[in-house]
Amino acid sequence: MTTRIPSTAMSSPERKPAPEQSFTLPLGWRIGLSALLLIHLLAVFLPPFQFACRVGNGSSSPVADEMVSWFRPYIAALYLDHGYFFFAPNPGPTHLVDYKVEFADGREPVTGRFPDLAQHQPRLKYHRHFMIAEALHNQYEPPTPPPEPSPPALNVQQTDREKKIQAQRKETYQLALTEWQHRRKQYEAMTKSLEEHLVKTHGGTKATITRVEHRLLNPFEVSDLGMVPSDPSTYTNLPEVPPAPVAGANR
Amino acid sequence: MNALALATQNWLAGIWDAWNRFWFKPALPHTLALLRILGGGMLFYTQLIWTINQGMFLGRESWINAPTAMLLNTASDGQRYAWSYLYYVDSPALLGLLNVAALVVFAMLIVGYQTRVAAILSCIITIAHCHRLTGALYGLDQINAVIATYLAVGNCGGVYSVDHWLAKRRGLGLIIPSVDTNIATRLWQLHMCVIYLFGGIGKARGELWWDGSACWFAIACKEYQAFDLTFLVRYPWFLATLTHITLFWEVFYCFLVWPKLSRPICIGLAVVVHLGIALFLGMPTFGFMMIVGNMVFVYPETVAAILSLKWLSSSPAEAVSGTSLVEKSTARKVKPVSETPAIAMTP
Repeated sequence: MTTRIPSTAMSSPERKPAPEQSFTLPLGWRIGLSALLLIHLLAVFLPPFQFACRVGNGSSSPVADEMVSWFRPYIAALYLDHGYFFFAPNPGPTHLVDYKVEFADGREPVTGRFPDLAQHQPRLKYHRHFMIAEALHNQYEPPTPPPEPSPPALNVQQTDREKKIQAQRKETYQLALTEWQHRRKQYEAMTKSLEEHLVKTHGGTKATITRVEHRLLNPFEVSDLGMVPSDPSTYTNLPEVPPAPVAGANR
Repeated sequence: MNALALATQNWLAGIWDAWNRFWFKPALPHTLALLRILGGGMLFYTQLIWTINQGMFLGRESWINAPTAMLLNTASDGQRYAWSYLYYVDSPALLGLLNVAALVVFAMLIVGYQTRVAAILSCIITIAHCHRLTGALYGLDQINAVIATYLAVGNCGGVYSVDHWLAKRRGLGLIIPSVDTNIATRLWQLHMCVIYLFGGIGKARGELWWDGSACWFAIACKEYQAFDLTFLVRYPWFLATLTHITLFWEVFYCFLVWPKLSRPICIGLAVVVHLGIALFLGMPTFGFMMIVGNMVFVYPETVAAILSLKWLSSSPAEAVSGTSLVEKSTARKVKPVSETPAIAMTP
């Protein structure tokens, strides 16, 4: 609530603070609780702040990163690690999962897609499946590690400045490699877990999943082309290995 | 003491005084108690869906099994602080028992029986499920955890509860304003502000929220659709207006929700936006829970007045006299209230 001091009181040098007895908690308790409240509020504020500070080129605010690292145990334990970027920065394409379960006895493979509103009711159960498909996509990490920085030519005498640049590149590469290894391991574990669930549910021997992207239609496609959101052309299977760049594409 | 030092001292004293009034003024429990019933209801429903589909989401062969959930919650340096007792349970019988126990705890929270214990256990159960179910979560679980946490902080069973009913039978039915109720309410209110501030900042970084097409793309998303609203493509001005209102409302929520004059508008917009999400974007649970989250800004006296239903039977004259009582109300002062106050206060 906004608290305004009456103008007469503000101008008076004899203005006194509110009497302490108006609060039921003793002063010591209030000071201690104030410290705890500030800590909690920082833990609420910092995760979305750090998330907002991350920009497209992978850099982020050292202040946000450092402060979040101090509060990490508390933030994680209380499930406060959220960005709150609902439908942000832009509403984007959604992601689904296609699956195929095969059987050793020669039965026809079972294929399907989740989330599936016809199969997953009530709506909350459908949404849980939708989020699993989205989480798999968010967790995706290509199977190839980030490219290693090219070493300097052997016959070139390196200046101090070039040596520093080289060392910095190596350090950045090591960090990116560690992060890639960890995220790839998480992605593979998640894929394996989903496939095992499908095998168990259908009594099959092998399951394969494919990530699918469902793009959104723009107003022109709906109003002038008469397309509907479920148009088959709006679904794209996402490859596990990203396509190699076309030779000479940058010329 | 020179004038500058005196002014600084007065300023600091003013801040300390305002801080104390903001956090440590005892508050009545009516708002928190109502939110306990509504929020507890959603916690119960969320848990019911987990329990019915236990094998699918929590069992040994669940979509995301426990070792995978643990790995997903582990940082690249190997640290994991996202605890959950559910990581270590894969026996269907034990899992079933724990899930039924969780439902009992949430039911106790709703009715307000042993409310303190139930609220703390509800918070532990909710967060444990969130950590174990990583990968299947969304905004609903975030707001569920927020509400469960602050219900565990404040006295949410002081009224509209079995505890209060039992206390009344023992002749101890005073509804006493308490500091913990106020602290829980303030933390909850500030958390809502943080949610909307960063929700708004996130949107402000996207082009579609500025060219007015974001709401179009939200309703054109097949996976979110509860109803096909793509006919609205003929009314781009309407969709653009919705988009701009949503963006500005979210960015400025944390400022506009505090003054008494703008609070009803701000909360009214929250209800409209979240009703839209609930009805049209296929997230009735999330939409409902966000409306519940916003209700923390309603004064306990208002909740008490509305739920006492006296406004239904009161004549216009009584209503006027009720309004005149607002200024004389002792309900917002530090005094025990012998029974539910039938006084309306405009937020």
